[in-house]
Amino acid sequence: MIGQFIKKDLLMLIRNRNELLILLLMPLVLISILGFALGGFISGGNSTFHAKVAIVDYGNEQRDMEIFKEQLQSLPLASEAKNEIAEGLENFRPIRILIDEMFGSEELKQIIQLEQVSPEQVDRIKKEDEYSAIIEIPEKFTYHVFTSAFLGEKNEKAKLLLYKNEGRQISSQIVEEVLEQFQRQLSNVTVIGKSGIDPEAVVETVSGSIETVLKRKPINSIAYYTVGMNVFFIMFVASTISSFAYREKRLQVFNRILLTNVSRWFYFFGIVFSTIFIALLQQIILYGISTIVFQVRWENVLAFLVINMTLSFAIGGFSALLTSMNFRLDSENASNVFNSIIVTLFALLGGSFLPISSFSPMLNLIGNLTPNGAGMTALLKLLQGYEWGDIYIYVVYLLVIGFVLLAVAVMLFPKRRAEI
Amino acid sequence: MLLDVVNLSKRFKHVQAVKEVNMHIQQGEIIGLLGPNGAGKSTTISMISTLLKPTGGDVYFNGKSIIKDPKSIRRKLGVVPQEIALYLDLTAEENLQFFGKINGIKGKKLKSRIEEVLEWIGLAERRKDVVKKFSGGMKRRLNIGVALLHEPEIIIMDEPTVGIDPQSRNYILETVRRLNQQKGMTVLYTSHYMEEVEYLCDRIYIMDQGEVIASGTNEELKDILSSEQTITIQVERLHKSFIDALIADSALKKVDNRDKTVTVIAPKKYPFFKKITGYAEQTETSLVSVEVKAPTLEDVFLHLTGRALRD
Repeated sequence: MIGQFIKKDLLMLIRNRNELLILLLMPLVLISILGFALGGFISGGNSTFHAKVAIVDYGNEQRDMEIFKEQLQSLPLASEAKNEIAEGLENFRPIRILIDEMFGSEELKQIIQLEQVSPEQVDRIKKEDEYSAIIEIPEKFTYHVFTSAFLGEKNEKAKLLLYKNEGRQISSQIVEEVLEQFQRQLSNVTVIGKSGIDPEAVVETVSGSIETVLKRKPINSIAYYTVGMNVFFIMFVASTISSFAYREKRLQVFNRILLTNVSRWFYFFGIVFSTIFIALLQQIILYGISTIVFQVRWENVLAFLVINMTLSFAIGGFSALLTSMNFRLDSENASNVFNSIIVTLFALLGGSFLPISSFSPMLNLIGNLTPNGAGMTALLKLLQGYEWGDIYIYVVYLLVIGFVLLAVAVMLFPKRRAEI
Repeated sequence: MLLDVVNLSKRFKHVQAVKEVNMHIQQGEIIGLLGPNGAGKSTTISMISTLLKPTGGDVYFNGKSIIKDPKSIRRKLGVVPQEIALYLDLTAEENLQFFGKINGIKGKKLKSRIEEVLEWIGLAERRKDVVKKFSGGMKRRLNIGVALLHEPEIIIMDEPTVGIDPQSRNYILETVRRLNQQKGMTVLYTSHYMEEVEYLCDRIYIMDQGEVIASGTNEELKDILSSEQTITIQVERLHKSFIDALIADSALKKVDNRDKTVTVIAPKKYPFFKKITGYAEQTETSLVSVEVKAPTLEDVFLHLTGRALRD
């Protein structure tokens, strides 16, 4: 019977030109306008995005290497093995790899300018806003990396330190990811060293990590606004369906439905399911057209569907809440306020118009608290090639929002006090 | 007895909307519930329809309390609300399909019911049109059609002709009469149009301020006025002094004035012509006509309450 409620809402939408324009045509028009007009603002292929990163070395790589070689000679190993390791060391210099191979790669050089600074300059730099991050190489870092890699010693000191500038979130995040990848590769060396594999091979492994980091694909403005507008306009489904429901009450259609022995809770959840279905359908149509017209493609279709389903579920929660408020207040005001003020505010905070989350961590947090913002972040990360492990938290959050809104809506929905 | 309403009452916070209403309806009857707007008709109807819980009394359908078992009784009730309780963006057929399906009617049965209902309400040719393109009368007919879909034993109609043209009103009245005569449908018909109730109903309950103030057949009710006559006076220009003179006449029971028409209820032996022309002369009022009418339900209501039905 739920199907009848969905069908009737769908038919009403199809016959209502204004609602259709808002739910389907407007987002496509805005994607075109904003996507092309603000193309330079969102980083795409040739980015104007630049970040300055300082690197300070408190140690001495050459001296660390000599100390390690001396230690190596005193170890009870065959002289042949000692010679092989010593030769391999010449090609495995972690700091050189980090500076020349990773930050010196063509891809990263375009967006990150690495500047070597002396330890005396560090305090001054920390106080300034000019640098996105400071990488500190601690004393005897290279030595600790070698002992960890070749002698299998567990050494917590074989780690780089990173100071992030919270005001420059995106660039400091990129640097953090580069370093995480670098550290991960150094850990791999430990395993490789223990297995007796030629350390020269390690150089190739570490260099290859650059590619892994840059697998985070850049988002162009069309893709950004496809997601931004779709998560913006999905919210109008909640106000539309809740308005339909209030009109059913005002025109006594709701009473007529109750007289057929359909319970008020069945009707209530009919509204929720109807909203979820229509919101999901809207997204599938909009993304389908975006794929054909704007070439915005989703590689992980399953994750894409899961995110949109949970976003639609959260919108179903809003629809339920608005319906309860409309019924309780006996007016359409809740839907109208949501439609005219809250949706726009959420869209702004969630980043549908501009990526304001990159302006400050606080805005980023607030933006991700809105359902559209959480959905948008999840979908953009998916487009960028992030793993499910980086995305699922947004899906969980959307489910939580949906359930909380539903619970509040159930509490607010007028009970059978007056009715039989 | 099909429907027994016993001491039915409803109180909303500080307002006693319905006070101990008693009513009984037999199978196949058309019962009228007449009263002005705000008399408590819709509240009474809502309680009988199981949509509103009474604060006192009960309603029995075939001896079963509707408060105790509303679900089984709903299947036997067809309710036509005062509002056009339809989806205006759906077609007539889509509306009937939706309400039919949520009523549990399926497949061929639903199809044949829709055909029959569309024939009954005269909308078979317009089945594919969206309701918002319908005239007021057609919407009202479909509003009735939806209530007939599940073949109820009794149909409860709340002001089913409000806001429509006389031709559409006649169509609806004829449809109700045919339903009663050809299908044996029991009808509870509420209206503030006394001529509709007078035309359709076997028995009538008159409500005012939440109470049933009179009941009986059309003739029985009019017999209340058997010792009285209703005089309608048309004047060129209404002077307050003329009305005052009529009110001051203790022989006249009720005086109701509207524009240039004054209605009074007087004893049968009242020398109305002499008296009224006298008052007109005294107050320099030019009379257009003085007419003695056969009593109507409107007059009965005026007699009982001192107010016109449309007040």
